[in-house]
Amino acid sequence: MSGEQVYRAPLHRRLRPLYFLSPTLLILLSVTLFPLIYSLYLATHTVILTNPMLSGWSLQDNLREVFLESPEYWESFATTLILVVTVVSIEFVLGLMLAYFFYNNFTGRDFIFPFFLMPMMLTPVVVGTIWRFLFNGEFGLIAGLLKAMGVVNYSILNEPSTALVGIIIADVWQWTPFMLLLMLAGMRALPTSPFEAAQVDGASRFQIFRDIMLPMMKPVIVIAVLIRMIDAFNRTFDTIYIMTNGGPGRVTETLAVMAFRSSFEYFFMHQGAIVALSMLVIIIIMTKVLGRFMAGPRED
Amino acid sequence: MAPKSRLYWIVCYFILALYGVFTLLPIAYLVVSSFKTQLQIYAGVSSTFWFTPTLESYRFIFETKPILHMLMNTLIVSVGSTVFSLVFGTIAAYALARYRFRGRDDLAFYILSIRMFPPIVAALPIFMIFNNLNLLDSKIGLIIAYTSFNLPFVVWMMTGFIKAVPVQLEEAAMVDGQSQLGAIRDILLPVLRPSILAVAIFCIIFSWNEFLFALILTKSQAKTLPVAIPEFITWTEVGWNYVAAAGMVLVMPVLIFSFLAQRYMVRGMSMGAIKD
Amino acid sequence: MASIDIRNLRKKFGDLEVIPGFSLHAEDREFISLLGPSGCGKSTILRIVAGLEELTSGDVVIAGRNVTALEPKDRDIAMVFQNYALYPHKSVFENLAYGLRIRKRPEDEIRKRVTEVSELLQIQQLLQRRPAQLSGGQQQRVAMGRAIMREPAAFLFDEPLSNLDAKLRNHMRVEIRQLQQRLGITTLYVTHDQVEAMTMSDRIVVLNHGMIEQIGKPLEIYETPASIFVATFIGSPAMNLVRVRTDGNALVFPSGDRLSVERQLQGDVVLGIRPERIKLSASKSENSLPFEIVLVEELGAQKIIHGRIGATEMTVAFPEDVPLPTNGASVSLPGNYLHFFDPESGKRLA
Repeated sequence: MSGEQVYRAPLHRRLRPLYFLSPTLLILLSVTLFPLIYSLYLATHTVILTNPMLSGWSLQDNLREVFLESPEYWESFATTLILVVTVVSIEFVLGLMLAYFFYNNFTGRDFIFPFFLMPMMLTPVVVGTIWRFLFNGEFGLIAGLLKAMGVVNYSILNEPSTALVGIIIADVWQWTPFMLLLMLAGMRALPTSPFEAAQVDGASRFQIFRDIMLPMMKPVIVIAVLIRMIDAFNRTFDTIYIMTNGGPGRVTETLAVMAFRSSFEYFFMHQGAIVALSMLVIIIIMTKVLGRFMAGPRED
Repeated sequence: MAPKSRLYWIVCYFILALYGVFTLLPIAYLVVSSFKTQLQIYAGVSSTFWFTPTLESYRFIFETKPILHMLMNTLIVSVGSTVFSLVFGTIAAYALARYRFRGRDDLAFYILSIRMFPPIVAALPIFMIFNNLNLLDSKIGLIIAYTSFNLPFVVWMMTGFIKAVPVQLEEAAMVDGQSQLGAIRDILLPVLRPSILAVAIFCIIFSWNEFLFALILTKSQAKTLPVAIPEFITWTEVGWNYVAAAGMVLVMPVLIFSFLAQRYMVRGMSMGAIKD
Repeated sequence: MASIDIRNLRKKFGDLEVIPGFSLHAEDREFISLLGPSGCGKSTILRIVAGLEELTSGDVVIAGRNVTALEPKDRDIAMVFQNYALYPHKSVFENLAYGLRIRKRPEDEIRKRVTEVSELLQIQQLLQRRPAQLSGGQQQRVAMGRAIMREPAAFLFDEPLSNLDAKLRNHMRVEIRQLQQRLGITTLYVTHDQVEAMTMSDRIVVLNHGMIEQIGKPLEIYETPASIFVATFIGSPAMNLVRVRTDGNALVFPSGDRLSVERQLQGDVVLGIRPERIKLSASKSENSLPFEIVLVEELGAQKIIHGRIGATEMTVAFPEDVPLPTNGASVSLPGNYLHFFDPESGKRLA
């Protein structure tokens, strides 16, 4: 382009996307990057709120404390894993099944559908309290039903063997509607002609569901399962805090609860920071691996 | 599809009815318990739904706790964070949807990935930072904290919604004599109104229901209602009727609101999930 | 005087140069079509003239004013989009009025103008409707109406008819042309439909890969296509093209059949002849070639006959009312309708 007049759009016009993005980026950087750096500081030092005299670099000690000196971290890790895998599997199967029913036309469908979505709108803390009292051994509805069946004063949440089951039931109750909503939206977005073609080819209802509908829904399923996994991992805190606060013993103490208790019950901020940061690492690995695994080989 | 057998319908209705009971029973339990006295709570399973309702629990909680104050806090923080996120998030989404520039897709992914951040990771340092900045127990502080999860959500959803609007609409307005910002104001925003509404509803509900940040960052002045709920639970668990009443006060606005705005919410939710 | 001047326009998307240098001068009141296959850069050129796309280098001058650095709003143009881009939340009236409202014209002037335009386009009864309540043809009219509201210096059309069905398209073609002639506004019209370009334009610009293959009046382009590309793009059914060997004054077909021509040519050439120029008859005459009929398409007004000269496929357009020869047909190719192209460059041989 030698000697030719090269046209340049005015600078302010070329920088427009930057103007538009900068407030958001500024806010997001300050609520993520800055805390992250601060977390790293906490994790590598001794920070005990009740004992400000202790301080200084102590990364190795901190790591040893959390990961090696007691099995607590690994117990919480296992609890979290069991919780996430169980609730997401159950919610997926239930949500898919309910969505398949709601995919049909029947009288009253649009009337009853919103009621099925109600649990996901409720404040998790309130959901936690409802289930805590439902499970209460003295006057709770479920304990009452158990009593009628001959089991006397059984408190699901107070028994180490069943406390996690109680948490899982509450989570499934609250979040299956979310799966239902996404699965139904995914089903309704599908073209119906492949189902008709399969029908003409002589496939049974179940075969159509398994061989045609499910594979076509894969993108929605991947997204829905991923969202639920991340949320179950990150945000099951509220219900557990209310229902058991990690107990009895530590059987329902997930990583998020552990990070919270380390920091705000024992005021060992550095321990809390290490547990929290480990969660971030796990979530990154989880999304990468699962995203790839579930998406399968890219076709496009 | 082809007509279904009778057996299929029987199974379908049976499972829906069963799941419907499972879904509604706990909510019904909350509702009835809030209208009971402590004695009635103990009255046994048979009278769970058979009792003389009373507003005693509601009177008690409003008299002993600053419920209204906390309710107002919850509302102010929810609306504040929603408006804040919506304004900046929509502008950012416009840039991501309408411009091509280097690193755009990475940037969009970074913004989305902030939603995957475990809240506890941000909560710890934000507590320490707010402690130093004197932002603990302030509504402004809580609004900023809530923006950390609302803003990425707004950007993500609105990018999709804006992409779905043909860019020719704005171009036509610009050819008609409007500036770019004018075209956004006159054409794009009115067209997007239902989508913005859907996103706003979700932001409000997320914030309304938020617990962890509120628990860590507020004490009394800016305390929101969700944090107050656990305080009703005494060691002996005798106050279930009070907890239920407080829970009702917290939950009912959202339930009523979501029933009214259902059309928008389902639309917003589905669109976000189906694209990409 | 509202001429449009495009000078040395270049456009790159990253490293990809989509328009390697384009110049065009449109006279005042002229109707110019930009014709080419999809991806040839015709829409990009139009959008650059509108100011909706930044250019890499070059100048755009409208009505003697260099608008290269101006925003679309300051260019005094009007544009009709392929998808019409009607404002979905505004009534037809407000869609039409919007341009004047931005310019803060008085209400009674706006009313008057909307009335005039809607009468001109016969959409008076639609003014209170929303775009979603209109048929495709009605939306098209409203989009047209919006463009003429302000009496701009130039009209830009981006494939405005391609979303309409065939019948409506034929109708709107005539209407747009009449309207443009009546208003006398300089027009750039982008299309991939050669019939639209042929019937509506004063001049056609045939584009391929961002470069001008030919500029000319419709008939010029039809009668003397500058390249094989233009020859095949214009005319339906498409021009027959045969690669032949030359031998002195004779063309040698792959079948070995010979055809003597008046021109002296060298080496291999591509011979082109339009199906409607070929003469088909039962009797073999001097300088005619044996023709084997394979398939006949009845179109009503004419027949399209697909056949072969040896192994070379050839299409002939034949009038309906003349009976087809039953056995042993032959074709003659009139010398003054033959086109010759260079087989390497595809350019017309002078």
